Amino acid sequence: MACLGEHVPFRERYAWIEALIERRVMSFFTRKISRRTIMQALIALPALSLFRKPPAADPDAIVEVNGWILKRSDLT
Amino acid sequence: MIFDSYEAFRAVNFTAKVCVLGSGPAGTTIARKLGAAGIPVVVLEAGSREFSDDSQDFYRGVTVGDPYFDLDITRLRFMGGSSNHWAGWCRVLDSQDFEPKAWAPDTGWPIGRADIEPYLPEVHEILELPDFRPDVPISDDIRWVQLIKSPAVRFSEKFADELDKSRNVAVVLNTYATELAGDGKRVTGARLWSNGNDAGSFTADYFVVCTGGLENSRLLLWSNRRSNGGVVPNSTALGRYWMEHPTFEGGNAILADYSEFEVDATNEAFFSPTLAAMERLEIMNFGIRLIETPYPGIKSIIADLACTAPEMAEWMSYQLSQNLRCAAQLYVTWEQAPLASNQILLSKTDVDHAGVPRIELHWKKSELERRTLLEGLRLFGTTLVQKDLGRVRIADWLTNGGDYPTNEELAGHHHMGGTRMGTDVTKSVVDANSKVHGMDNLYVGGSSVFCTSGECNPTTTITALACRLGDHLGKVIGA
Ligand SMILES: Cc1cc2nc3c(=O)[nH]c(=O)nc-3n(C[C@H](O)[C@H](O)[C@H](O)COP(=O)(O)OP(=O)(O)OC[C@H]3O[C@@H](n4cnc5c(N)ncnc54)[C@H](O)[C@@H]3O)c2cc1C
Repeated sequence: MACLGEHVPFRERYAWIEALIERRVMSFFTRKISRRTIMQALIALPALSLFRKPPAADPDAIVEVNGWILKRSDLT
Repeated sequence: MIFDSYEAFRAVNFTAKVCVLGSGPAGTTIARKLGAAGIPVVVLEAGSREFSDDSQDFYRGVTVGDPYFDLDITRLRFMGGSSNHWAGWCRVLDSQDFEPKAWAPDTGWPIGRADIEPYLPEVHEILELPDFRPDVPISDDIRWVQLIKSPAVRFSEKFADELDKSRNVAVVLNTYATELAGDGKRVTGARLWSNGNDAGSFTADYFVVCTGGLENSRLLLWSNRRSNGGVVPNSTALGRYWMEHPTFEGGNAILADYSEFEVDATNEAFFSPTLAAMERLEIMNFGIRLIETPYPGIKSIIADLACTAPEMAEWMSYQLSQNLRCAAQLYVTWEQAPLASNQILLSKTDVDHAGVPRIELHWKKSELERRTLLEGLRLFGTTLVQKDLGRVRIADWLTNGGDYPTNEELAGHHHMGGTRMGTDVTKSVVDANSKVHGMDNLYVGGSSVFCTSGECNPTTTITALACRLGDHLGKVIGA
């Protein structure tokens, strides 16, 4: 059974990874908050493309989401 | 010579060849041109040298339709007219503004930009303008245009001395032309009201109505009624096709590099569509004014972008940390489609102190204009994306189909149309020389002759047209 004492040195050694992970998780979280936005981004795609393998979407195509005029690649 | 009353003017023996009504930019410019050509001209000005509430009261009226400024607020009734508080923003109508647009009925002028171009050097002197730089196309759709913020010449201040010393020009203040009388061929006289009383009538060989973009229609409508059609024999279009430049905040922009566009002294830059873009989208002309957003405003725009495109927002935050200038408010001013239903009528119930019916202005923005505003912002946003110059966010009220906000500028105080220029007498009031159709001696100056409004402020074009009319009349009289 692992005890707390064994973990501490490991954590200290890899603290930078944790910070990185935390940043990733947070950034994932920020995106998750804007669910409405993701829905709108999906709506901006042609509906059928959800059901068949989409042709590689043009990253430079202009999309309008939440009033923003964006490049599709801005949404990734 | 400047006289403070009609009585004082009558005491001198001055025979005028031309009678100009109104001393705003149009009237003053025409009178100066004629005076310089040695033609004796009298300028009858309803107001005095200074602002007064009593004089402004003659300008009261009502607006029916969309919200608009009070009619006694949106113009000034004293020597120099509305140049006494104009902002001095200058630009000449583009050549494309004079062209008919297949998708917008009743557009197109009987003259082109080339007809006023010879007068632009004079206009630059009058309005104290540096040269305009040519437009810069930033895409096939959008031009970066220049609007010069001039020192806002007050015509009464600038020219009072010259007019006072002139032997050929007599400016008569406190003299209101309440109506013109005509026999269907000629104007035979102007009925006057001075210092609160009827002051008889005045005659001259030629009359030029320059009483402003609302009042020109009012004076001619009332005169025509009193003369049984003897002043504007073809009056179907009289008072109609009235236009403004509606102005609303339509959204925001985040710019990759604000210094990409050289802004003016107030950190603003201006953009308009190309003719090709207008044609493709079937929209009217518009002007987008980029106004730098103060720092607190930027944060909320980036926060909004973070909900939609987080990485883009992150990149923008970085830009912001590097350079505090990165966002702008987008104010849009647009050209109204000329509509016969937007018109000046005479009130049936209300008259001014001299007994002249007040104005009832019928004014509504159209669906085509709403589309112009929305598609214009999309066009601008698309250009910024394609050129990697930034990103645009269109205001919610526009994308949601909401009502126009009521707490904004509304429009430009630009009163255009009502006595428009044209060849079809059922759709216009004056010909290509600004002469009233069917009349030998009656001309109109000012933006009431505009057939379409373009997107830019009108006074530079008004002044150019006034130089042209002064020149033309000088030749007619001299011949
Ligand atoms: C707040 C404001 C800001 C503006 N800013 C700009 C700008 O930045 N750029 C731009 O291009 N334009 C601007 N304008 C518009 C500009 O002021 C007008 O286009 C210009 O003044 C019109 O000139 P005008 O000579 O045709 O008419 P006016 O300036 O209206 O002059 C008409 C004159 O006729 C007189 N008059 C009226 N009726 C009679 C009568 N029956 N008998 C005798 N005299 C009469 C009046 O007293 C007045 O002196 C602005 C206007 C306002 C109100």
